[in-house]
Amino acid sequence: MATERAATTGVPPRVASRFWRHLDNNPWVFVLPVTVYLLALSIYPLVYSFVLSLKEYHVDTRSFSWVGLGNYAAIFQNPEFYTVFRNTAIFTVATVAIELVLGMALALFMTRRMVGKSLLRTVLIIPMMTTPMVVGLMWRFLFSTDFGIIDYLLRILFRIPPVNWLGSTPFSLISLIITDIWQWTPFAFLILYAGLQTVPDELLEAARVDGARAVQVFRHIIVPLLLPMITVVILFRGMDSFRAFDTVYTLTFGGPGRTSGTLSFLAYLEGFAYSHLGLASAMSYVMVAVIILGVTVYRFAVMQRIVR
Amino acid sequence: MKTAHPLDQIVTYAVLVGILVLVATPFIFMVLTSLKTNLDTLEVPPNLHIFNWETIKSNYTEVLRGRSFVAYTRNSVVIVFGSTLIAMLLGTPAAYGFSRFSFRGSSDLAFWILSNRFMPIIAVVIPISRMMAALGTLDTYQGLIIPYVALEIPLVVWIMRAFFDDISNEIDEAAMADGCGRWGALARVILPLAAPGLVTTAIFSAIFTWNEFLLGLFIVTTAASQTVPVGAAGLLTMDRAIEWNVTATVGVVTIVPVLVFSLLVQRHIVRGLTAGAVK
Amino acid sequence: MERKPKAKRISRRKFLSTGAGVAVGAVTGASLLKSGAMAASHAPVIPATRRTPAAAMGGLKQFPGVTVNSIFVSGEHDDTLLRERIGDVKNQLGINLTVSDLGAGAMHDKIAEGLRSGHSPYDVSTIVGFWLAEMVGPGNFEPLEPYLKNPELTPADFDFADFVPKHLDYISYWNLQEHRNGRPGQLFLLPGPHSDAHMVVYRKDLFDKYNISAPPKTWDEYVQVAKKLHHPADGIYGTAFVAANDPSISLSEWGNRYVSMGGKFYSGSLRDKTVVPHLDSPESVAAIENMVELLDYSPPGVTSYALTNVADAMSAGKIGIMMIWVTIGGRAWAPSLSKVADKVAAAVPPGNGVTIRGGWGMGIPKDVKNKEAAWAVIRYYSTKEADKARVMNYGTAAVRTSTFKDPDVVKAYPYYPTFGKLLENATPYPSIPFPESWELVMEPSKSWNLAMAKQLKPKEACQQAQAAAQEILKKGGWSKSA
Repeated sequence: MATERAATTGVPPRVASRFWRHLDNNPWVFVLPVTVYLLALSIYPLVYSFVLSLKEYHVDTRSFSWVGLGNYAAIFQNPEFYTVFRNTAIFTVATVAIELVLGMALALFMTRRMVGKSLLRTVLIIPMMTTPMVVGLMWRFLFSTDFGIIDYLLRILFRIPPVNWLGSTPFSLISLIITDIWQWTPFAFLILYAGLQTVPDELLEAARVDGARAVQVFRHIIVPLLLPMITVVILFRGMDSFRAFDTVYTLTFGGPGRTSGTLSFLAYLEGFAYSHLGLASAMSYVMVAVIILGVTVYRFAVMQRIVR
Repeated sequence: MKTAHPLDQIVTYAVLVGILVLVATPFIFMVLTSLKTNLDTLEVPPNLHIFNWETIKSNYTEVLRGRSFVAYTRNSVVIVFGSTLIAMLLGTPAAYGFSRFSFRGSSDLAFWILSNRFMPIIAVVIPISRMMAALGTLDTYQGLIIPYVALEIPLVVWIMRAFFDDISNEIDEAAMADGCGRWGALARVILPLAAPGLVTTAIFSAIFTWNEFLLGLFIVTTAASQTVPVGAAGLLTMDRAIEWNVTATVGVVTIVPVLVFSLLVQRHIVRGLTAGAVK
Repeated sequence: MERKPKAKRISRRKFLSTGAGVAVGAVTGASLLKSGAMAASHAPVIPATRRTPAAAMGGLKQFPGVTVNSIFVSGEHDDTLLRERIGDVKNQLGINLTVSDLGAGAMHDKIAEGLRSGHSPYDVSTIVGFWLAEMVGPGNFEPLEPYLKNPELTPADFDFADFVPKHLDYISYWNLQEHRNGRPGQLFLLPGPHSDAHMVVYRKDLFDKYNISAPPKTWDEYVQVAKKLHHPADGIYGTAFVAANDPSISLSEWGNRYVSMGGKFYSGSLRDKTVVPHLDSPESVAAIENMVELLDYSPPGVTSYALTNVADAMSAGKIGIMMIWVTIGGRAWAPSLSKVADKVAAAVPPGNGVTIRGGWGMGIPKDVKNKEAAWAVIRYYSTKEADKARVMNYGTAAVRTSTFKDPDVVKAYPYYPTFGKLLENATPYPSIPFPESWELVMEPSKSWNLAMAKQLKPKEACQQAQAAAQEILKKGGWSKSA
């Protein structure tokens, strides 16, 4: 084949075939398309939003004025920021940890022989694919102390006095966490389960049958094999939980006060409700900085340990 | 394969049913609510006045015709399908590249790709919508597909890389020794083995863009291109009296294409998994 | 562990499955497209020959082939009538009309971005009082008087004077120099699709049962009435109100109590930048104390109640009295939506009879290309006939005096006479003159909600709200010399 190509182009066969082979085996050919695409789409928004974070918008004159680092200073001097930051941190850690554990448990469970697996898989996708606003309203109805089924069952079955799930601290944050777990555990499950498919059956059998060695099998064989999948779950759920907005908006509106507010909710209020565009942009950058910090810590603490 | 203990079987199925109940109950509840009149939805404990055909017809006609949900669904399907396809085409080779090659800066590049998902959407909605306006793609399918591909690429690259990592390098080398070349090895040998990963990745890509709201709100205006989340937002406003039965109907209507999609895709998951299970 | 790559067989299978997937996707897509095209179109296709000639329209200007996009808020039936008449608009004016609806928040964001970028997505934009200072104030909207006076665009029987005068002052006129709404000023918005005020809705039968002779005249009496009605063992709570972390806790609950007790939100002038807020006044504290007292006679979940939950509580027969927007409260009279439709009555809220008013106006952003066509649609939707049809068919709140006096309307909606009285005295939410008006609603809401959750005492909540208001006004430059 290389000789034919050479005949038409006039390039000596050995050079031509080496060129195509080099191109064929060149990593950059694989990664260039996405790199270019992302660069093209991300430069303008990044520059725009960064510059915006250094300005403030005046609604009545429709103009911007330069405030330098004033927005960032305002964020760190606002006591509400720390409340909301703490809420977001609690929310993120709780949801990611619980979803990872539940997802792993579900994935391990699904390796058993049973009928109804595909039904379960279909049903599990649905929470993730429901429009977040619909999820929020559905759970708002379910959690309602006076009209909802959850509190009704708690009252009738366990004789627990009515709990104000959506309007009291700390239950409002707990309701948000429960809703997120319901919606996103399937994500962890599906990824980990697909990863488990590559683990040999014999190991899983050993884990199930011989109880004493199960934990060790799990720790020393399954977890290392699944580490790329676990990483995906932690990174993606971590990023998304940290930026949680839809459920906060529909379920509790950050209430009482801001005790169930998240950073994204605060940024939305400032940016869209109050038109403080510069401040909202600065908040977003603070969030990005935290995410970068978290990911970098993860990268060096955990990922370097993977033997390639 | 040892035969399963009967007790083991019972526990297994009990847990299975338990999980199904926990996950599915909010939906069953929602479907039942969509069959009721507004008055009936306010009863606690819930009643079962769900068999009135007139009510059902009125709820669903209001949502499907009066509120253009068929149009929204059509738009969402086209936009999500298009953007997922393009993201998979661009991202899968990149994932393969990161998995097979360790070149200088590959780790940094991979994290840079991931970092495109760090920024909260609220910060970039305005500049992105202005970019689409400059391209003249406001209120069109492309106007949303272009940014959605950028949102999906990090997901595709990272998830597929994890799947490729779990397939041994020796297989590639065996294929190349047979005269395939890298791209040939990828296309003919590795991709089929990674089929469950491809399906999983496509599902997740689709999920994240299906639910996307802010960009959809700003880039698209009329029902000709409006997506489901933006269309649904109209009904979900807390500052007026919500009609829960109509809201539930919206919820059901937005789930149906999802169900259809996952039922179709189930067969691929099963086929892909059994192919990969041959050891 | 070796896996033998069955290269050729798998790749063919993969091709088939991928092909099948694409085929299924294409078929589904095509069928959705077809049914979508059929279901999504409301306008019947009208051949050009059947379009009524301009002469029969009384000489109104036609706009063949022009597209006009309009936006209305969701959940109020503002858009329903216009959606039904898309075909008629095409008939009478030649305009291709699209009608969209969004929640208030999303609508605000989209309109605001359109005004900022100079590409307004909606030729006909509806604006609520809170957005006046922010959107109309900077001069973004087209003055409407020239269009009103143009006989080619507005017929002689339009009867502009029929609009409720106070509503015109609330939403239609804005004075650019003095930074306030009302006349003297320029006309920027036509009133509509609805107006609003607050009213008390109560259960006549429960009043009889518990020997309550008349609706409460003071807010203290309101607490007493709620107490008398409170019988949780029988499933009846005294009252419900918005106690959640929701803008309505300021707008409806604190706001109504405050203005009906004679409280002043601020003093000083915007033009001279000498504004001082008064959120810690005695009336403000009294308002919050009143709300805290009512917690004892409300359902347990009341601190998560938004407007919809209050309305639901009355419609489900769970509470004895409530104060709420007329447009939402009206649902209690609808037999299809309320269990107690024949048992409710309306009253003027306690205090001096002043309540918070609401409602929308329709206008044209200055960057719209075909302003005359946009005006044509606005005018079409603002006629006497349209106002009455909105009210009769969908229970919206009227904007024309003639509609209030119409015997059909009074017969269908027994609370309309009370509503008319309320509308004469109602006042806009006091923060409206400021571009930061929505922030001045939402930041205090946080404090009021904390008082409801008993995490702050009423006085502390008022002080916190006052501090927040002072900060906002200072940042906006309205308190320079204070």
